[in-house]
Parts: sequence; C-alpha cells; structure tokens
Amino acid sequence: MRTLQTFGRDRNQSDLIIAVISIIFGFMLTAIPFPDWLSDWKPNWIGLFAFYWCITAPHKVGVVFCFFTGMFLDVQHGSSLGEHALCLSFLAYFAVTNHRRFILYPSIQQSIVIFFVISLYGLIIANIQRFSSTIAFEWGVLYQALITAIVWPWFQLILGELRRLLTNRV
Amino acid sequence: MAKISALGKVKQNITPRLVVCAVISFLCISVDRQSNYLNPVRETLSFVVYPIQLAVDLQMGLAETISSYLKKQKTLMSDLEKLRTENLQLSVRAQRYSAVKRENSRLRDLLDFPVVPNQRTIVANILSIDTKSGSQQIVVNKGENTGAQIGQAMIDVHGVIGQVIKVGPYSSVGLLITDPKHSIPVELNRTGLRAVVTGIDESKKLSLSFVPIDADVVAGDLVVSSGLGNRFPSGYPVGTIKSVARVNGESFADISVEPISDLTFSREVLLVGSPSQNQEVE
Repeated sequence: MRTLQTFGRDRNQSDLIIAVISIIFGFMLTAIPFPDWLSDWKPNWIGLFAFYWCITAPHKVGVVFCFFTGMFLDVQHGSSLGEHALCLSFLAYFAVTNHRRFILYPSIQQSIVIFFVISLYGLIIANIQRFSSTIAFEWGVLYQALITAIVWPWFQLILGELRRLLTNRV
Repeated sequence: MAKISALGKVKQNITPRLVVCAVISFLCISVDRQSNYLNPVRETLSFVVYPIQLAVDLQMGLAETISSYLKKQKTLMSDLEKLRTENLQLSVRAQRYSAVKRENSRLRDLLDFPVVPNQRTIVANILSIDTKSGSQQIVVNKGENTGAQIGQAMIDVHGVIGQVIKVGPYSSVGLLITDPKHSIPVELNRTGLRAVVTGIDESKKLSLSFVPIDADVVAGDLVVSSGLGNRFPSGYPVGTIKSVARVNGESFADISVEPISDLTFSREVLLVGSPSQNQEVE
C-alpha cells in the first residue's frame, strides 16, 4: 500500500480550507446513529481526521486547531467542556512532533501507532469521566481503537486522493 | 521530503501551545463540572454544531422516506389494515377515557381537590444518543425556541426515558433514567409500593432501591412513575421487575428493573410538563 502523500508548501494554501471541510464531514459521520450492539465499533472519526491533518499539513493544522475541534466535539457529545479538547490537543502534539517519522512507516506500522494513539485517547476520556461518577471500565475503548486502526490505511488513501484532486483544482 | 523542512519552526511553537491548550482544557473541565458559568460558551458553540446534527438527521429522514417508497404494496396494505384495527381499538378506549376523565374531575370537585390541568407536550426528534462515553445522554432537536425547559420529563411511546438537563437555543440534552447519576420516584402498579429507581452503570439496567426485604415484589411487576417530587408526571411506565434477590441478613432486597423503552428503536420523544406549571398546581 502506498505511504502518505505530502504536499509542497506552495500548495499549502488550500489545506486549511480542506481540513475544515473534512472535519465538518467528520462531525457528520460522528453524528450518524449506530445500533446499540455496533456502537462500540464506531471509528473515532474526529481522531482520524485530526491525526491525518496534523501528519500531512503540520504547518496549517496543529494543536490549536485540534483544541477548538475538541471543544465542538464536547458540545456535540454533551460531555463536560474540555475533555475531547484536551485529548485532541495531546494527539495533535504527538502527531506534529512525529510527523516526519510517521510518514515513512509502512502501512501496518502506521495502523499500530493509530491503535495506540486512539486507545490512549479513549482511556484518557474514560478516566476523566471517572472523576465524577463511578463508571466501570468498558472494553469498548479498545474496540474503537482497533476499528479505527483498521480503517486508517483506506481512510488516508481516500482522503489523500480527494485532497490531491481539490488541491490541483484550486 | 524536503518540503516539510519547516519542522524546526513547527517544533519551537508547539510546546507552549500545547501547554496553554491543556491548561485551558483542564480549567474548562473542572469549571464545567461544578458550575454552569460555561453555558454561554456551550450555547455559542452549539450554533455551529446544531446545523451539522440537523443535516445528518435530515439525511436519516430521507433514507426513511426512500425505504418507505420502496416498500411493497402488499406490506403497505397489511400495515394499513393493522393500523385501522388498532385505531378503532384506541378510539374506543379514548371514548372511555374522556368519560373517566370527566368523572374524575367531578369527583375532584366534590372533594375540593385542584384539578390537574392537561400538561403541555412538545414532540422532539432524537438527534444523537450517547450511551458509551460514561454518562447516558441523548440530544433532541427542540430547545428554548419551542419552550423546552430544564426538568421536563422525556417520554416515548412506551414510557419514561429520562429528563431534560440542559437546554440550548435549538436543541436540548436529556439524561436517561439508565444513567448512574439519575433517580426517579416510582411505585409498583400492582401493590402501590413506593420506591426509587436508580440507573446503574451496566447499560440497560435499573435498580429498585430501598425496598424492604419482605416487601411484596415479584418479577414481572410493572413499575410506573409516582409523580412524587413534582418532576415526573405520575402514572407513566418506567420498567418491569426483572429479578428479585433476597439475601439473608440484608435489610433491603436487591431488585433489578428492565427499562420499558428501548432507545434503539425510537426516534421521537415527548417533552412533558413544565416545572413552573407544576409549582402552580402545588
């Protein structure tokens, strides 16, 4: 499978717009209701989109962008304001600081990294929520990370192609 | 790969940014937990999020419309037949209901009891259900604009599902009765025994708390809301008793209740009653 595409700085201008549009699309994907028995297997779409953009366009999309995305996500989920913002900020930091190395990884290794990053994301959220109420640990966090990691190679391929089309057009 | 040579620049700025964002996040989390100072911020942000939710909801509605077009005539005919008979039965029952209602109000008059007025109901669509991220909440598409208020009960076709806890301009958030932080005053339909139903963190289960070990409770009993506390209207089904465990030496029985409505299949909820109205009745 092909590795991630990166783009020249001269073409970076449209990246931010495409990133915003794709994140909005991510929110829509998140809002699609899943049947209850499948809800553990819903990929973490916003995490995927945020990670993708931090890896491929680290000059445009970074910690602050992801922080605000997280705030919106908190409003959408009805969770206390700042939970997802915190996790996405850390995810963005990790992605931006390691993006050079990550791009060179083979697909499988990228998926493994995604698995651990999204697991960490879910576990931090679960633990923040445990402060206020006694919620038992659910394995759903790991299922979600697993499905997200499985989705990743195709996800980045499709988004990369779309982005190349759009960037060439603009 | 030379294209991303600005790595150094990126690296210099990013750590302070992360620190600032993390600090703001932690502040928000702790402030939002304890108070509602951040509600204006939430409302402002929800102006952006709401259209997205609405767009998805429209698409789901569209999918439903298409699938209803694709239904065969035969199934439609049988559906129609079924609905007709159901309608007949219901209207017969409704006739009796109006007679009973008149009688009830007359009796209340005789006894000098205040007549409970018809409670205002708002029909709302469920925009999203979040039962996995710790707390069990749903978002519905009616907010301040249509008169939704904090404390209204949420009811679907089967029975009580929760109550409104946050109201935005165009949407509101409801806490489900299955949330561990939620309790609802109930009574048993068969015996009239009053108790409190509390959510437990295992999904789709409730527990009936503080029922003495020798109380008359058997599996299959219907649990309805009692209306005590003036939050929930009385008489709506909440669940059925699933199992009763009596441990020797304990003073309370361990009773689990199965919620009556399954949220997987309902898309509409009713927001019933307004707290201010209830206080007037009081």
